[in-house]
Amino acid sequence: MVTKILKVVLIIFIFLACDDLGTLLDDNKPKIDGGLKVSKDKVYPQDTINCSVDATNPIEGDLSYAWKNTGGRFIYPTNLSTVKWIAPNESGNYTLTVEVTNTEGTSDASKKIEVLVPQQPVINGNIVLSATSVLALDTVTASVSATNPRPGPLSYTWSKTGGNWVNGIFDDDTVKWIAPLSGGNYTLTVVVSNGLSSAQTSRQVNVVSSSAPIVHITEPVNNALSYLGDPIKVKAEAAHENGISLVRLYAITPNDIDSLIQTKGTSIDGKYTFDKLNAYKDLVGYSTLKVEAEAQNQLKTKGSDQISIQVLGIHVGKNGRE
Amino acid sequence: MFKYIFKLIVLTILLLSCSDIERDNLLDPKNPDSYSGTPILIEAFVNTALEYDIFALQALDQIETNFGNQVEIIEYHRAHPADTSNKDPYVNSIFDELHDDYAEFYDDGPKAVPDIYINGSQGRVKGAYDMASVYSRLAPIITDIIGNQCEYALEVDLAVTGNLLNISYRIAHLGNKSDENLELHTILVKDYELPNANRVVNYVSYPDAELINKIDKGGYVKGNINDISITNQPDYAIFTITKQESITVLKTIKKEIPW
Repeated sequence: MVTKILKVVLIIFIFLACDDLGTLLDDNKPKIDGGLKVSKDKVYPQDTINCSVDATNPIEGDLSYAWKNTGGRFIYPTNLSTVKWIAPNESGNYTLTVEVTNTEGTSDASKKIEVLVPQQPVINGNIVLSATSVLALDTVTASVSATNPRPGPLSYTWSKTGGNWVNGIFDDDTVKWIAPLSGGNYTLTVVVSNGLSSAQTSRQVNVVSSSAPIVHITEPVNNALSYLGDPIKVKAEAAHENGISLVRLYAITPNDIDSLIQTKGTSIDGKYTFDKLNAYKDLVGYSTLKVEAEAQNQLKTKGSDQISIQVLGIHVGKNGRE
Repeated sequence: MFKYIFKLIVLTILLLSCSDIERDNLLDPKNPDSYSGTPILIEAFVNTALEYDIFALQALDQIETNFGNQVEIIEYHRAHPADTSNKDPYVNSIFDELHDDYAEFYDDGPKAVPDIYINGSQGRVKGAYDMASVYSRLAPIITDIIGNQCEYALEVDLAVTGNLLNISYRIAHLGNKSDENLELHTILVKDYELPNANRVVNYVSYPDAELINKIDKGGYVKGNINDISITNQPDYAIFTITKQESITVLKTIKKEIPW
């Protein structure tokens, strides 16, 4: 009876200890101490980190290592206990896994790595120019100050919408730019990069043109007829490399007496319509309409166009009826 | 007897051959190719008290010098509010309404003086700043239409009895064509032999022109206009043909008044 009871107890014990038995059997697989270790678990794109695993083999034999990732790439060879992993370009969470295998089985360990959004270089202020308004062929020094939020050098790439660089262009925070012959606004741009990310800034340089604005009266046509009292609509176009600051319409009588009729400011499309001229008595005869434009630069150069009009004298009664 | 028969034969031959006579008279209305000439009528609405109008009259003098009897120039002296002292003594209010008709046809801004019309609708020259400014616009229009063929023949006889003018007229449409709804206008003109008063209209049959209802093909219409009261002893009459409701002058003739 005692023997029978002892057998039953033994069976129950074996049954209950089945899990531990499995564990006992597993103990022959490689043992990983401390999991998967990385030199950094927060990295920037393209950063390289060291990954390692400490594993022991409870039985005789060698261990083999297999590294896996959900992004980025390992630097070969990857069958070692220590490898290097290069973060991908896209920021996000990635998982690195190592599998250590012996003849009895495989153990693994994983580690989550966060690839951070790369930080741009910080440009301090704007491009500093030695002059913002220059004459043709003047030299302008342009420099930029930038800091890198992560270790490493910065590179500088400069571009321009006109003109030339002095002695070519170099990867430098300071360049010299020669203004072109044609006036106008030119843009200097620098892109500062830390290899992962870049920041850019631009600055305009106004090249003053000494040429006169080009003005063309488009309406009325030369020698157009008008009658005394008629409204005369005058249309003109004006252009200058530095822009037009204002345009004036003058009427000049046959006796050479000028009268300023109307002044107009800057027009986006360079077209101007004057509508305040009524053919007045002094204009009767061969008169002149003159449109003068002033450039938007410190020289305030002026250009003009003029046409003749014939204003015919008539006598009209009250309310346009006699 | 033989002589009688011979005459009869000759007469018969003549009668039979009548239809074969070629109608080559240019003034024969039955001639399909007939036409006439006409001077160009230039009508100026002016007021000589106003400065620009004098330039217009000077230009008309020059036109007359250069184009001679190829043009007939007449002046309607218009009243104008700017002539506050009535310095133009030849104004006539009937000309205002006539000017309205002309200006409305062109629909070219307000009615004003000086205002010159060439054959009514064939050209308009308005305004002036010197003589040349008018002449340079008038002359090309005249040159362009001068010598144009005219489709009408107009003959007029005048008789003066006291202060009454009697007119007998004959109108034909040349080219063997019929016509209808024509108007015959009578204009009496005086040369006052004073500056700016050499072609002054002192009578115009406006708005009561002589109506010509119909002209038969190849035929002509004759009629009389009687008892026109005349004042200031005009020197000559101008007769014009227009279509009814039109200002286009189709034919102009000038006739001295037989005082």
